[in-house]
Amino acid sequence: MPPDSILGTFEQLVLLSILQIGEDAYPPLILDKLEEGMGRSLSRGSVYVTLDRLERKGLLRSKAGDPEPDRGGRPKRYVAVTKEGITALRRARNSLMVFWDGLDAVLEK
Amino acid sequence: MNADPASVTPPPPPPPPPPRFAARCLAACLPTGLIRDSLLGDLQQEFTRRARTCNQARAVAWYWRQVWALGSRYLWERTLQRVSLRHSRPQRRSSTTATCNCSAPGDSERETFFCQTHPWVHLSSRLLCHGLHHAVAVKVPLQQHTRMSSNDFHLLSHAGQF
Repeated sequence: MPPDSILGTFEQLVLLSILQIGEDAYPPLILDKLEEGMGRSLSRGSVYVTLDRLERKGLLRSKAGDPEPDRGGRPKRYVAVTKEGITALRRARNSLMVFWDGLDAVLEK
Repeated sequence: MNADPASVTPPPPPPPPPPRFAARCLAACLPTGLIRDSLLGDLQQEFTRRARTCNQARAVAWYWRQVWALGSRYLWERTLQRVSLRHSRPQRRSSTTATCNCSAPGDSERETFFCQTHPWVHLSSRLLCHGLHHAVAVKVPLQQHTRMSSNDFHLLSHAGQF
């Protein structure tokens, strides 16, 4: 990922949800967390595709869990945020804070 | 001591499997490996839960909707990435019009990612990519070695470029 690129809003939300869930983060839980936080339903596709994109950028890593019978013997895909992901989140937060700074009076009207 | 056969409750029936053809259609659209296995597993788990708690016909309809939504989403995403990859390659001419080199073999990790799909999906993705590639070449003057992301395509489509 280029050092000057900023994460999109949804990418930030996905990464933050993974951090909030912790070690057990896998796509359906992430979807639930996002829907709970955003207060609306989301498509599964948007979450899965974003996870794949973040993994290709190196901001996420995933590992397979144990095969489970109620999943047809298929494993879960547990995801975790990498160091690069944390750095990208920090950079995104700092960039936003620059623009939020000094606008309290305007936004609290 | 033998238990009374009338008092023994029969074991619950095994959960119904999701529609096999739908699962095959979706599997054909997904990249191989953990992404495919885990996604199909997630859907099967949710399908089983829905089939147990509500009508099975509704669960089947839900499964087909997911197959359509996820399959088309992955196919579209793959096509955009393929176009992006195409434009990231060095062009053979120095003019601003991009030259189509769709027959050139892919050599990067991302190209390998695209190719790990069912041949029909791979072909559809290539055809879509070919169309988009020419649309971009005609309407948008591209600089050499430009890497276009899916966000660039969204921006271009919002700007009415194609």
